[in-house]
Amino acid sequence: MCTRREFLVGSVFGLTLADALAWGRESRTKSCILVWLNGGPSHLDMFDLKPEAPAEIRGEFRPGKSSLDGVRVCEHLPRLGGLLDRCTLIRSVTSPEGNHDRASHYMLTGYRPTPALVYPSFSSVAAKEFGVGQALPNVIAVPTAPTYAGAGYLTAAFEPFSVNSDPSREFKVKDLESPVPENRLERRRAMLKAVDCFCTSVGEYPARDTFLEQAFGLVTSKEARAAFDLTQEDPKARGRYGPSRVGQGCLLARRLVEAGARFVTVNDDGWDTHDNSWKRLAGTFNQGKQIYAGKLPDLDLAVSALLEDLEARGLLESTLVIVMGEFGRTPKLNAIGGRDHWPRASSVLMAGGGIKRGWVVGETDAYGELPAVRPVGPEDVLRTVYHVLGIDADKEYRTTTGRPVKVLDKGQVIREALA
Amino acid sequence: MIAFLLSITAIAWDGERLYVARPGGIDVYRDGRVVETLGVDKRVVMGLAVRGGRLAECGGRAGEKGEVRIWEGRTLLRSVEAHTDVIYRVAWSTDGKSLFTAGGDKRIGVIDLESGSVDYLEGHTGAVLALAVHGDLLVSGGADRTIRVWKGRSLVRTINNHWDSVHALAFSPDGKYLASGSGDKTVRIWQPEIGRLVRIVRGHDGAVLDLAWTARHVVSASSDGKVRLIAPDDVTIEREVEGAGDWVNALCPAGDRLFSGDASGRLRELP
Amino acid sequence: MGQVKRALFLVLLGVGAAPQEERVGLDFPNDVLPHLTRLGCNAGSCHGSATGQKGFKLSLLGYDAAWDYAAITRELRGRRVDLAEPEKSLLLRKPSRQLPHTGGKVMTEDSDAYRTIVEWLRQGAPFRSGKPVGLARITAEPGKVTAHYTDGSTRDVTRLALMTSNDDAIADPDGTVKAPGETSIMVRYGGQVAAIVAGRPFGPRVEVTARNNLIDDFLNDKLSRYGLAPADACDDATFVRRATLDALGTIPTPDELRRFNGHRDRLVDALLARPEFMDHWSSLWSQVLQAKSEVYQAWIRDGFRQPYDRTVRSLLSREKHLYLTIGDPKQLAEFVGQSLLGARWMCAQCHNHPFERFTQVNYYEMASFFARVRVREGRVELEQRGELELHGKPVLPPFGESRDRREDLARWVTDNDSFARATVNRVWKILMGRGLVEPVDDMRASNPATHPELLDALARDFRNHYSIPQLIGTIMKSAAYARKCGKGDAFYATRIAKPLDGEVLIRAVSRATRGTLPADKVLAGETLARTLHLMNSPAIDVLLVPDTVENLYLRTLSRLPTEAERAFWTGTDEEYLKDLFWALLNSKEFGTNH
Repeated sequence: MCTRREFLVGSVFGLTLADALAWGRESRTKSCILVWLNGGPSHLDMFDLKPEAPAEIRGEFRPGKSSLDGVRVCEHLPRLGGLLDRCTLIRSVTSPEGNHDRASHYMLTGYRPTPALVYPSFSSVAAKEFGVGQALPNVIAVPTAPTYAGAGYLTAAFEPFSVNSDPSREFKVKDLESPVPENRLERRRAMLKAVDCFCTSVGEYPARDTFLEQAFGLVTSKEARAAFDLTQEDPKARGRYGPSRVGQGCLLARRLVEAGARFVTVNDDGWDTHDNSWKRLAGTFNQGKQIYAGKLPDLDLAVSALLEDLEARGLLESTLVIVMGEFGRTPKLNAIGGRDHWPRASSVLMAGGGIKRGWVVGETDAYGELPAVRPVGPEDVLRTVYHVLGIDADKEYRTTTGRPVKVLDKGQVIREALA
Repeated sequence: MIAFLLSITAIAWDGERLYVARPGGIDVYRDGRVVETLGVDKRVVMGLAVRGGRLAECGGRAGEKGEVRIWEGRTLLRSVEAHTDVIYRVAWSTDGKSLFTAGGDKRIGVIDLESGSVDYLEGHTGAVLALAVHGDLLVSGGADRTIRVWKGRSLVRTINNHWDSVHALAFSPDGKYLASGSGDKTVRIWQPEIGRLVRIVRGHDGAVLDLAWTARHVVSASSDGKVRLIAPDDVTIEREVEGAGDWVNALCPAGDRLFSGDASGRLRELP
Repeated sequence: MGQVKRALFLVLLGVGAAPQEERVGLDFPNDVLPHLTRLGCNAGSCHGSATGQKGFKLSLLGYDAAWDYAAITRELRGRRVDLAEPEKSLLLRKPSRQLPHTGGKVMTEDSDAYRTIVEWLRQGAPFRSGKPVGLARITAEPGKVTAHYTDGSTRDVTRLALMTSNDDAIADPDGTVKAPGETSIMVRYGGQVAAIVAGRPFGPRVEVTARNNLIDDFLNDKLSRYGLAPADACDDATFVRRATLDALGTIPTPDELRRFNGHRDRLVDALLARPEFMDHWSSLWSQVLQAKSEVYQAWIRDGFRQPYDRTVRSLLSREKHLYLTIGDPKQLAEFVGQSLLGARWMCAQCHNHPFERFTQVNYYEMASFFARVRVREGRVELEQRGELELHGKPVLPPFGESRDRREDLARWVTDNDSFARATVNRVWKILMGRGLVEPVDDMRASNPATHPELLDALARDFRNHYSIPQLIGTIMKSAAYARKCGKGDAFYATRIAKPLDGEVLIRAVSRATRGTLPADKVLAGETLARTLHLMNSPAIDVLLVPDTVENLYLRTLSRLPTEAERAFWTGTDEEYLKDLFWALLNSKEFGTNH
């Protein structure tokens, strides 16, 4: 039975950033930014060029300068090529899943998909482990979460918060401000608590409680809301990231991490280059309403700006940056000037907190078809990520039917990638 | 007494005698009769190759080691251990001074018959399953789906075109062309030195396990139980010979005749 | 060579030799393969995976004995078996760890599996040996598994079957029950599956009296046996709200609440006769039938009171809506499986179904019914020829002679047992919060219903009329439907509360405020974005109007405030009441169907 006094006392403003940092974890890496290249980025046209291969394999791009010996970076990624000495590049990731959904599930959860269960992505596991501690939602997706980047059996409370707006155009995250002044918001909050307290017909509802707490946190924290406001960024700095969606998405990710968000996914579409590869990747390609003006130059600007910006602000040490997609693409060009799905070999780029600077893990064979040295699977990549984030990958969760499932049931940390 | 026939893995012909390899020994046929059996000490024999009066056999023990033996008549001339897995094929060099071996350990062995030393050629990323020699060219095929062309110790070319393991290779009699047979159920014909694909033969219902190139045909043996005679120019299948339904592992042209052996141990002369 | 000599030569060579003699010894499917399944060799995480392991691929859980036999004895010229020296075979040395084996030590040398395989190799590793091989089905009861062959013979295969528990918190694979509750033990042998129910009551048997129709008979029987006393029936206000939400997809108005006279069955009938019922349910059903275009949705709505089998036959063989939505024959096959028969065939696109006997060939055969359908300029046309190909060979439909193959398929689909069961299961889930089989599109032998007899009875009844509205009425009139909310479980002792769907939420808010809440995709699904929208959106704020406390409760929560609530809400100024309105709209009671 609720009394009036309980409500007047019960209101809480969002915790400050300091409180969040004091949450207590072992690792010094506090946040993670995943740049998700949706569709399957072509490893042979990005970080694993094979200029000596026959023309129908090597494609039209040539290698450019690279600050890492032995790594042939595409000429259209010059800035990233120069920054490789601060990253670890894993070239020998391999998986058998060649379907977008299945492959995404595997790369994002570390489990092969089964009809029995949808597993939580590593962003949702991070959300669960990091807990709710401060004003910003812990896990955010820009503009929307990729398929299988969700909470799976961990329930709705750990779904990423999708900003649902394109950061490169008129970006606005809706509903972050209350239409009523603070004192009325407080009263509303107290009233809501009372109404819920009186309710006897609906039982416990943890997902909703989490959302409410997060929502109030956002609404009452100007700093948190400011993080979502790209107009508050210096226009020159904003321009450094490039006007593309991935560019502004990375900028938003930096702002969010700076304001205390723990996991931001920048979801970049358009990498499924079955046809017109060269135009889509480095030229200009019109597809109905979408114009792809060079995925590679856009990515180059975006991620290089992100890494340099994080470093300049002293955030790179505590932020893990991952650039990857669900699979690579066929070394052999198809009949329509593109590459098809190829999960047997792909690359993953990592930088930041806990990751070794200037290191390459593995290599593929002469045509980039299979790993020739040090093959690793998605579960190995994720185990490494969990290790860096200070999350115990052997921890067991329970699904809604009570079944025990480990965060990861396989995989080994890629020790060479650790700083 | 063995109440069942052991699978035939290889057949060879030296002009007079037909050698048929089975686990447990190599049966030597002359005028239609088995005149002796070589190597009855239970061993695995995977491949045979004849040169002059000598027979090379290869085998070993899967997962452990490979072994090559050379016979002359019923005398065992030599025995060499090589590789860390079974040897699938053996081939004589053109000058008869070395033997090439295709190893399950992904390597090709080059055995100098005088000294007995073994060098290895590395490059395949899967078991080496097929070999063919012509002049100074050595061609290998493997479970990594590639065909590799070697001159001396150097890899001259890698052909990556088949969708499944390459099980068999055969040069045309004039050495200008090379046929490859694969688990992708095709036979492909190449100009090996330049790596150019000139023909693809479809129409097999199973993996192509062995090949022979006679004066007029490319002959294929398949896991669908059939032997096919293919006209190389227009890649039509001129004749399909039904088997007993089991995998046909080995083919051997013998003069104007052709023999095949399958996994149920049946040796057939093809009409 | 002379003719005679030649003939002799051929005979000695074994040309035309008789097949291996039939021996009643060990064979592959009955004696060897079950061990491989039991030991996990052909599990999806090992050699049974889509690409095998280390170049050795077996069929998943041993559903394809012929393939496995060839892989073990024929591949790579037989490297895996040594018939001359059986114990030297890779097949034995690796799993017993005499040679390195990433899969670990799976069998010891003195185990049944090892000794059986050695003896089988000594007998020449035959595929058959005179024992019956055609397995028709297996039957399982606690402690005994029997194989039934097509020749009528049976065999006790208890030692050889693979058992797994669907919930090992409740029961171990051998059937030992550890905790109260119910689960199934999956029994696999020879590529077939059977289920044994394993459970323990929560308490002593209870008497369950609340009964309205056949549904309650089945549910109550199980509750009674498991010692679970069901919750009481909910009060009238809750029932009216619940029934209105389920039937019409919106909340009742205060007027409708006042007019309710206590006759719940009559209320259900009245709700089902309203046009809003058609709107709401045809909208729900549009999702099932993947109807995105307005024309398609309108067609579904118009035919919603028609017998559903007729609707489906029309959809498959006469109407164009489906074909304008899905063009690819394989996707059409997946639609038939998933949306109409509750079966996920899509896995079979790349490899054979991991759980059931539905092969890649079956998948293509289903798709072949659509092979000749073409859509041109908004019209559906049939080609005269053309087939789908699998591995370079054309695939033909497995049955049917009509010129338009889809007619054969349509008849087969609606005659199929699974059609009624899948439809009943979907409707059940929408109304009861949980399917009798979960997930609803994954009905198979290895995923049994919680109440198989109930599902069968409802399906049998459904087949008499194929009326979805009638089925809805039957379920809504059961005592189980009217229970109070609680944690919810597979026994239906309490009702499961669910958050409102996006569209329903919008209608409910609009009705409560007597305004119009604009649609917003952010309201779909239970997310932080929805919570923020409800909390802060000016679109909601503008709809808030002051009203008496009693009216606010009636408008939003569809009930009168309790004494305690009345005493609590003492403010009377406009802003106070608007804020209360806001709080009610954001409350969990409003946002759930309970």
